[in-house]
Amino acid sequence: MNKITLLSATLIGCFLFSNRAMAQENKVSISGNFQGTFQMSKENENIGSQDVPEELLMNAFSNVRINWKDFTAGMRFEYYNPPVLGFDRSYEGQGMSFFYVNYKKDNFDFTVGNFYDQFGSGLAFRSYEERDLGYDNAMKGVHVKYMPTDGVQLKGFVGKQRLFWDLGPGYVRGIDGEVNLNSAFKMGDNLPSFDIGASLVSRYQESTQTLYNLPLNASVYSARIATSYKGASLDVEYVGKSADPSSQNNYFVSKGKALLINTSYSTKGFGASLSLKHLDNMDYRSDREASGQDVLVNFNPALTRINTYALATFYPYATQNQGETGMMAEVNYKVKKKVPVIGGAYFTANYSNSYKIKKTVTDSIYFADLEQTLPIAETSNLFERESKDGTDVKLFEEFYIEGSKKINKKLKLTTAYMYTLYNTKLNSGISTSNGDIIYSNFAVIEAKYKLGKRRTIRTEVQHLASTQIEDKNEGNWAQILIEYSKKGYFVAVQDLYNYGHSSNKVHYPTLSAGFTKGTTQVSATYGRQRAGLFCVGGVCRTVPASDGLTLTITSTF
Amino acid sequence: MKKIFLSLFFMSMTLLMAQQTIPSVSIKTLEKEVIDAAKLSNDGKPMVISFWATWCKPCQRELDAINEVYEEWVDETGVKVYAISIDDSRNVSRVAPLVNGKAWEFDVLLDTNSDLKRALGVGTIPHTFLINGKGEIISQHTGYSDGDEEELYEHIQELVK
Repeated sequence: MNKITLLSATLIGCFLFSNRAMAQENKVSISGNFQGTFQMSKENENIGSQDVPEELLMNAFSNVRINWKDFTAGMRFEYYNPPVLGFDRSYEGQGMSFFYVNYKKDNFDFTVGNFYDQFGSGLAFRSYEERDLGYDNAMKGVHVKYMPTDGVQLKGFVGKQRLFWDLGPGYVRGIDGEVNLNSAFKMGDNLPSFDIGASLVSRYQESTQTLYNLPLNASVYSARIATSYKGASLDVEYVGKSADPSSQNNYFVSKGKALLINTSYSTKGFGASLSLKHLDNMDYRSDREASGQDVLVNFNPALTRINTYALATFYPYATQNQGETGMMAEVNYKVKKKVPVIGGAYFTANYSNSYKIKKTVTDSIYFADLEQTLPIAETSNLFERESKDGTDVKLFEEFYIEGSKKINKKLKLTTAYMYTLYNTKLNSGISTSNGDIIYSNFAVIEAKYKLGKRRTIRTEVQHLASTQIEDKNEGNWAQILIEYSKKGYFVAVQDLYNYGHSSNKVHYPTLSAGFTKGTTQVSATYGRQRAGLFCVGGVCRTVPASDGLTLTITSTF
Repeated sequence: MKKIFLSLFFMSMTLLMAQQTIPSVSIKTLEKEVIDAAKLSNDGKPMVISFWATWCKPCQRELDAINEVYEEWVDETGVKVYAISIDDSRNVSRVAPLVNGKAWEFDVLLDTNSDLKRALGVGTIPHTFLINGKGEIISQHTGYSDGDEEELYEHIQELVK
C-alpha cells in the first residue's frame, strides 16, 4: 500500500513539476451548475390541490463541463425522487441523462453524444431544454460543424431524441448551411448586411401499421434570408414539409408549410417591429404517435408577448401546430429627458393575434369499412383565414400597453393595461359554461421605492376582469405584492384573490424569502399556488394547484 | 504518507486548473452574423457579459441601471459590456427594437438556442460575468437587486488599478 502511495505521490510530483511551465491553455478548466427543488404540498379542496403521498418531492440536476486543450466533455446528472408537481411522472428516477465529448480544431467542431442545436429560427429543427419545465428533446448522436471561411457555417447531424429516460423511436438527420455575404465576400461595412441559409431535416421511423402504407421518411426543408441596413432589418424563413401522417394530424397525408417574416426598425430611443406568420400542418416529431411536448423535432414559435405579471399569465397562447396565421407588432419609445412631465419615461405597446387558417381538401378516398368518402389531405393559401358566419375565426388576440417613469431618484412607477381574447375551445379543447371565448382585461400599478443604500421596497397591485367561468378558477381576480430587498436578501408577501367566483371566493397567499451570494441563490416560498400554466421563456407547462412549501437552491461553479 | 499524497494531489490540481475563459460557442450579432464567443475581446481591458431576455424583468432592471452609468464606466475604466439575449425565435425580433427603444449604449448579442448560456453553466438569469483583460472569468453573479451594479463597478475598478 505504502509503495503504491509513494509511487503515485512521486508521479503526481513529477507531473506537477512538469506542468509548472505549462501555459494557461494546457490546463484543465471545470465549470458547471447545480439546482435542487424540494416541494411539500397538502390537500386543499378550495384550490383543488391533491394529497402528495410521498410528502417530499424533489428535482435536482448538476451539469459538469470539463475543458482541456481542444477537448470538452460535459455531463448532466438528474434526480427526480419523485418529481415536483407538474412534471411528468415518467421522469421518476435518476441517472446521467446527458453526456458528450466535443473536439474543436481549426474550423472543425465534432460532438459525439448528446447535443442541442437549432437551424434558422427553429422551424425546421430545434433541440432544446428548459429544465424548470421538464422540456428536453436533446439529441443523442453525432454533430459536426465546419466553418471553411469567415462568414460561412455548415452543420450536420444524425441521432435520436431524448424521451424522458429513453430515446424516441425515429432517427433524425439534418444539414444546414449559412453564409454571411458581407464577411464571405469581404464587402464594406457601409453596405446592407445579408445572411442566407438553407436546411434539410429528415426523420425515419419504422411502421408496424399494416392497414396503411405510411411514409417512413418525413422531411422538412427550409430557406431563409436576413438582411439589415442601419436601423432596419428583415428576416424571412419559409419551410416546407413532406407528407407525415401522424396521430397529431389524424393521419392526413397533407404536406406542411410555414412562413415567418420579421421586420424591425429602430433608432436611439425608438424601436418598432412587425412579425407575420402562417403555419399549416407543421407538427414534426420523431415518433408519429407522440403528443404533448414529446420528441418534437422543430419549434413553431408563438408570435405573442411573454407576460410576466402574475395575473397577466392566465391565458398564454400556444402555437396551433395544425394551422394558424397571425401577427405581432410592437413599438418601444423612450421620451427625451427634457420633455416636461413625462421626460425620461419609457413606453411599450404590443398587439398580437392569431387566426384559424382556411383549409381546402385536396384528396379524399373511399373507406369501404365506413362506407363513405373521407378527406385525407388538405392545403391552405398563405395568410388566408377561415371564416364562420362572415367573421374570421380568432384563436387569440392581445393588446398590451405599458409605461414606466422614474419620478425622482427614489421612486419609479410602472403601469400597464392588457386586453386578451382567448378561444378556449379551439386552443384547449374545452368550453366554459360562459362560451367558447374568454375575454379579459388586466391592469397593474407597480412602484419601486429606494429606502436607502441597497434597500428597496417594491409593490404591485393587479386586477384581472375575466369572463372565464369554470369549476375552480372563475371571474375576477385581484393581487397585491409587497417585496423588500436588502443587498442580496429579499422577503415578499403576495396574495391572489379570486373574488369573482360565485360560491368559492379563495385567497392564494404566499410568503417568499431568499438570498443570493455570488452565484448561489436560495429561495423558499410557502403558501398556495393556483393551477395554471407555468412558463419560462417561450415554453409552458401546466402545473396543478399546490399548498405548501417549495425550496430552491441554484449555484454555478 | 497519505497526507503528503493528498496535499500533493491538491497542489497539482490547483496548478492544473485554469482560470475559466469564455468558451468557443457560436452566437449572433443583431445583424444575424455568426461570431465565436471566445473571440469577444476589449483590447486588454475588462469586459462584462450579462445574460438577459425580453421577458426577464430583473435582467432589464439591471441593464437599465448599468446603462445610466455606462458612459462614466467607459470613461473611467474602458470597460465594455455585452448584453447577451437568450430570447428564442418567438421573441428575438423584439430584441433590437427594445434595446434601441431603451437607448441602451452597450453591445447586444443573440444566443437564440441558449448554447453559450449552457456552456457557461448559467441556470437562471440575470447572470453576469466579469472578465479581465486576459479573457479570464474573474467573478460572476446571479440575480439582481438594486445596487448590484455598484458592487460590480468596484470589481471593475480593482481590475484596472
